[in-house]
Parts: sequence; C-alpha cells; structure tokens
Amino acid sequence: MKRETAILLTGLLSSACSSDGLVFYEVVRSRVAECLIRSNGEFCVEPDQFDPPSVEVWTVETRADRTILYANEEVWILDTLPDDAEPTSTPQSTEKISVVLNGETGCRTDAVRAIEFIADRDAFDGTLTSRTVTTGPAACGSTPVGDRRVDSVIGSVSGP
Amino acid sequence: MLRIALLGTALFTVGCDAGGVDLEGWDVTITQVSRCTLTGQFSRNCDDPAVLGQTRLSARWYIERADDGVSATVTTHEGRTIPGVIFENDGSILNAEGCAADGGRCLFVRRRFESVDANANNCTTFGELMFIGTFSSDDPASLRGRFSDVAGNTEECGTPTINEVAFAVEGRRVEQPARSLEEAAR
Repeated sequence: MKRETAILLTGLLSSACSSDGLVFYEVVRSRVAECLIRSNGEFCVEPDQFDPPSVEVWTVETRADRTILYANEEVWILDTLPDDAEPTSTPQSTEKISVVLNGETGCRTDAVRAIEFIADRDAFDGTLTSRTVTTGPAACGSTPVGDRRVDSVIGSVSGP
Repeated sequence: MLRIALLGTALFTVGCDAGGVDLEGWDVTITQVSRCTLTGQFSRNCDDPAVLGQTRLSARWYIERADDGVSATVTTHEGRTIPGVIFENDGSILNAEGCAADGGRCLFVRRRFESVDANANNCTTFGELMFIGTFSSDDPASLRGRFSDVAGNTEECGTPTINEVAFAVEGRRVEQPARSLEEAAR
C-alpha cells in the first residue's frame, strides 16, 4: 500500500471518529417560567416564588457523529445536526418523552422534557423545558392537569 | 484501488462503531471509610470507621475515554455519569488523596452544584460528588481511589450542616464491559 494512501486512511479514520473531548461549563440554571396547567387555563407562579438559581457544572462532548450533554448526572444525546452545520454555532436540541397510560381508567400522562442550547469554546446558552399533562375521561378528574417549567441555563467555560 | 477502498470502508466501520470511544468495564470494590455530619460550628459526629469497613460493595463502573487523551466519563453502578479528566500523577496538577504524586495516571471526575436562595436570607445549599483515583503505572488495569459525596447548607439557612461520606474504591478492568455478554459467553 502506498504511503500516501495509508496517511489518507489514517486521516479519514481520525477525522471521522475522533472526539474533541469534553468541554466543561459552569452554568447558572434559573427558573424563568413555572405554570400549572388546569382545565380552565394555565396559571403561572410569580417569579419571586421560583426555586432559587443554582450553579452547576455541565459538560458537552462533541463526537464525530453526535453531541452528548452531561447535565449534572443526566445524559442527553442531541439530535444529529445537518452535515454542513457547525456544532459550536448551531442550536442543538433533543427531547425526552414518556407516556403513561392507565388501561383501567384511561388516564394518560404525557411528559416531555426538552433541551436546546448553543455551546462554543467560550460560553453555553440554553433552555431546559418540561411539560407534564394528564388527560382522559371523567375518572381522571378535571383534565387537562399538569405543569410546565422553563429554566434558562447560561454559563461559561470552566474546569471540572 | 478497489481493495484499498474496501479496506478503508472496513476500517471506518470498525473504528466508528463505538463513536470512536471505547467503553471500559471496571469491577470495583467500594468500602465506606467515613461518614460524618457537621452541625453548627463545633459539632462533628462521625460513624466508627471500623464498623463502616465491615461492609463492602462489589459493583461495576464504566469508564469512557475521549480520543483527546484527557477527557473521560465515569458511570457508577447507580447510573450516575460524571465527566472529568485524566492526567499524569506527578503532583503538577493535583496532589490529593487518591492522586498523591505517586505515579501512574490520575482520574478526576466531579459533579457539583450550589444554589443561593435570595428569598430566604441567601440560604446556600451545595453538593459535590467526586472521585479521585489513580491507574497504576505498573498495572494500568488497576484503579484505586476515593469517592466522596458532600452536601450541606450554610448558616444563612439556619444551622450550618455538612454531610460527608467517603468511600475507598479499588477497581480492576474487565475484558468484557457488559455482564450480559460475559454470561452469554459462558
């Protein structure tokens, strides 16, 4: 095998499979919305009743084929970006969805948690949202019923 | 040329199966070495280490090392994934229990948080989960270190309280990360 070909293959392998490693961010996670969902509308909590903000270390790992976010001990695997998108300047997002259906009562609870962020080598700017809603027949009570929360997550590069 | 293309494709496929990162399984033995509660300025209550040491937990952890040779994640037996870094154990970066400039390579992973409640007298709560360990220079398949879990609050919350639990961890890398595959092979 020609030397040039070997170099090309090695280059292909490393570029296709390499991980840029982990980038640590010290972020401030602050509640920006907290609302109760009821059959007669959505009722939001006053900001002075929000949980206090917290400082946390979040970590982004950029691999050749995917981005992984470690938020505290929770792991999020981000949706794949288009081939021509630059991960450090394109918003990345993903959702975690769960549906619980009670076969006896017919009550259904949908929970959706979503993260969206832009993270470059300097800063992290994201939003974490969660929405849980129960719907169903009269046996489930007055529906829909649930809650919705939105947290902003903003920070800068830090150490582990 | 066709053979080279096929070889390239095969290498590409093999190399990328795990996203370029190897998943390592480590069988660890975890022994609690201290459990203390600090209340107020002067009170410190600790369990008897001799009693704590009577119980050992055997479990499996997972380590993923990034291709940069520095970054890594540890996933504990409780499913907690904690990112961190690997570096030479020569005292230049860290000199602490578990990584005390005694050779090998250190693994440092940490998760921490702090929350200040401006509506409650700036009551501050905090927590830190940390593992500091060393891969032996003689035997890189051996890992030894200290895992600690600290949580508490400051005096602005009332009485300052800190709960500290520390564990000694000894690990050995296993050939097959997944137990199920190990058992299937028997």
